Amino acid sequence: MKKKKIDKSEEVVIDDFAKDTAIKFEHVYFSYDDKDKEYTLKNLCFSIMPGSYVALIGHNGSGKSTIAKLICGIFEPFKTNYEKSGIYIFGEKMTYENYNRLQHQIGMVFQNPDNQFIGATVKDDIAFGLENDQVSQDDMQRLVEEYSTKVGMNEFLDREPSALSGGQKQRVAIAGTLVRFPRILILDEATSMLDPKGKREINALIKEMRKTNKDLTILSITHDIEEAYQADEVIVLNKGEILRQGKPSEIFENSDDLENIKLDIPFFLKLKHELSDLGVELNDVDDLDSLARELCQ
Amino acid sequence: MPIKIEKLFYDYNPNTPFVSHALKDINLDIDGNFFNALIGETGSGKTTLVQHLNGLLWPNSGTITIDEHFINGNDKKLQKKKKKGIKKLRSHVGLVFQFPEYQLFEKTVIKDVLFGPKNFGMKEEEALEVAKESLSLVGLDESYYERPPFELSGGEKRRVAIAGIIALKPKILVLDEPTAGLDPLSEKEMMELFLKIHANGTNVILVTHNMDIVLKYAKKVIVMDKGEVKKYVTPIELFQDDEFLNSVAIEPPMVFKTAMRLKEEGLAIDLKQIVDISSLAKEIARVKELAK
Amino acid sequence: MKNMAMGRFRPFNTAMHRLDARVKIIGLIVLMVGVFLDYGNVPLNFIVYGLIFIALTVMMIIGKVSFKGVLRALKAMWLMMIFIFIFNLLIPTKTGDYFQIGSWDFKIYYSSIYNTLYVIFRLFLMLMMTSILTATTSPMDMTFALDSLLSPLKLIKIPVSSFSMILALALRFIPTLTEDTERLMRAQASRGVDFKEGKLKEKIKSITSLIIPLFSSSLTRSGDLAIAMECRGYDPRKKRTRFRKIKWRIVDTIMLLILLILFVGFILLAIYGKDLVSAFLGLFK
Repeated sequence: MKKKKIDKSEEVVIDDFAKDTAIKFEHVYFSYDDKDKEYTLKNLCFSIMPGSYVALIGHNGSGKSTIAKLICGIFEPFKTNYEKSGIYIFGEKMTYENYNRLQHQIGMVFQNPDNQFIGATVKDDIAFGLENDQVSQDDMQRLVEEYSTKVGMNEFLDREPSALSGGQKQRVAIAGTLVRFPRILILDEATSMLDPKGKREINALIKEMRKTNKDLTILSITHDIEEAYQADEVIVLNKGEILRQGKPSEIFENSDDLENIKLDIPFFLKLKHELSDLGVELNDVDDLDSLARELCQ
Repeated sequence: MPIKIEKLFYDYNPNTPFVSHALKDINLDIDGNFFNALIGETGSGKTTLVQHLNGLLWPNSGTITIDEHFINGNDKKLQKKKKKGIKKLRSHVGLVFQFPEYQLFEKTVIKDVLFGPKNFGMKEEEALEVAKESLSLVGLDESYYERPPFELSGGEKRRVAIAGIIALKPKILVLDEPTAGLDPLSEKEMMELFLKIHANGTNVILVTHNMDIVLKYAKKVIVMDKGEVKKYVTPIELFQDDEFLNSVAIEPPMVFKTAMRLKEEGLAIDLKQIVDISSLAKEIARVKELAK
Repeated sequence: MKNMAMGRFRPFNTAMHRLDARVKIIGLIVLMVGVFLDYGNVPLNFIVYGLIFIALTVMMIIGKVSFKGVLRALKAMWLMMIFIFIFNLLIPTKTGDYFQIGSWDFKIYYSSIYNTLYVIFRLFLMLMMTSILTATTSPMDMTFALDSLLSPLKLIKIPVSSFSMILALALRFIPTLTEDTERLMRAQASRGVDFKEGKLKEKIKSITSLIIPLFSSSLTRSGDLAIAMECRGYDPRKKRTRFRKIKWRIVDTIMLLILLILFVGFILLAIYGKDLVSAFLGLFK
């Protein structure tokens, strides 16, 4: 996609049917290869409400990461005959002309901690986006201080990436993204390359973020079913199509179709299902305490 | 006595101000037919230890005996001659690195798998035979032979890379986090593959962070912390030792945690039966049945 | 090992570290000119080299730059030095004094020995200078300094900031790629590759088994990096502000003046040096 200068007088056109959504996919088709008959994403429709935390799950190759790349404008969806088809960010359809401006509302954190560490040190990396946004030097100092503290990296401001753990690098990446005040945060398998300690760190940080920044819309692309279970909503993607979307409890309670495509379900639900197959019925278990209580009465 | 390590020490940057003691007084005796896990936090020395097993790293002091191979780190003169026999050791202990898919470089899958055996001096026809065998073992059929590795999916590439090591016909296979970055389904398939390799008579050591895998597959588990081997026990013994697990920052798998909790609350669960969710469910059902 | 390599930035806070990177780069250029000029007279040349050597040694001590690294780098080039020496011996058009070893009919000119020594000294001094620069200047400051010094080129539409961004990223990824290479070497060694021995054909194969995977992983890395940069709003055509505060201090001005004087001094010495020496020697006649 080529970039064009933002015209200050450019009008913001909000489509009515998408106006209350943070992200809306309307009949989106995409393929990496024009000749390829097989679409990576076919006829994708879904919407994500502002301020919600949505987990997107599915196998490798189901098209999860492609969705992320479409949202931040790295790829462009195919043109279709249907005039409204496309990607809407806060009600505004993403086009050639406005994508630069829309992109500014979206922060991305990727899978590989090394490949997104741009600056030479922690503080340089957090400041990178701010430098691009031409923030003044004093504001930058303040923001870097503030956001490095938020992710618990303020003691390592002068560290080089080679002296950081994977989890620490990902925390820096999150700070470097949030410091630009995005309205949408996309986590593209942000924990999948981390060790258990790193995973715990990042998950705790996301939890904290949801508490302190209620307006932030989070789309987390993940393999971690337990994390997905904590989300407001879950979208299940299979072979470029949406299998289901809904509250985690709904999605995972009726999990036959998930099991058909061999997707995992959260631990306690799985245990409950297995027990029920063996004739032990449980009512509601979603953690260790409730399970122990029910079984040991 | 397939693997015996005695008083092994290893430093990075020895005799400099940047010295770091990567391995400290490792003593380990791994016997018989094994499928073991090696666990510990990042930086605990797992990868360093593993690289000693096929002679990539040479101990500062201490000895390693692997079947008929003997590495003597105490004899400084020997260091110069260490290359002798080391090549044999490399095919005796096959080492699969983390993210092995990055080491593929040949034009076709079959050529890449052939690369190792040929380096170790296997004849062309024999090597081809072995390569085909290894590929079918990892679940890649003939249609893959002539395909360029770069076209394959991540999981397939990793299988090709593993086949490249299996083709060396190692007696011991060491895998450094072989399931890292895989989705749960591919992870399961990968583990089944290792069981199959083990069933064919290869001993396996698995470096991993995934405690579910440790519980379900490992016969015994080696726990490392800050360059030392802290424990060499069965997974069940390990996961019952809360205090120790805390001290090395390892969390037991959910399955086991649940079983322990239920046992504490009075359910007469036999922990030995617990390897995964299904076995936990069965055990709970059995205990409940008895209680009636 | 990595930490000991020549020229790796060592984050201390010495006077050399605090000096503005632009001054250091200009200093490098001035001293380089000083080292490469011919002052027309053998002793004078060696005197100038000696003075520069002393000055650089003082700077290395102040800046806590490791001497070992320089020596090691020099040691790695011994083969080249022998080659230069032989090459100098064989150059036929020589004048001046010479000597012969025994009854051998081969003239060894003093000038070829001097020329070899010049090259070795120049090389050594250059190594000292660059290692002072890189060991006391963080990559970030270095790219900023280059960006700033080259900024006049922006007027003729040369994308200087893009170049300095490329440089910064290259510097940032050196440790990562070094790590990749080390790991890959070990991985291929586990497949029976011997990087030290073997016939030429085998050697080519071993190198291929390194280069291709390295190349492909670097491509992946740079692709990922480009996407990450774009997602954080990087646009090479747009103006950017700077996070790092760089303060020009009085010391920097003084140093710059000294360098200017030094520069003029070198040039003058190169032009009038010969006369100066003969005048000086004349005093004792």
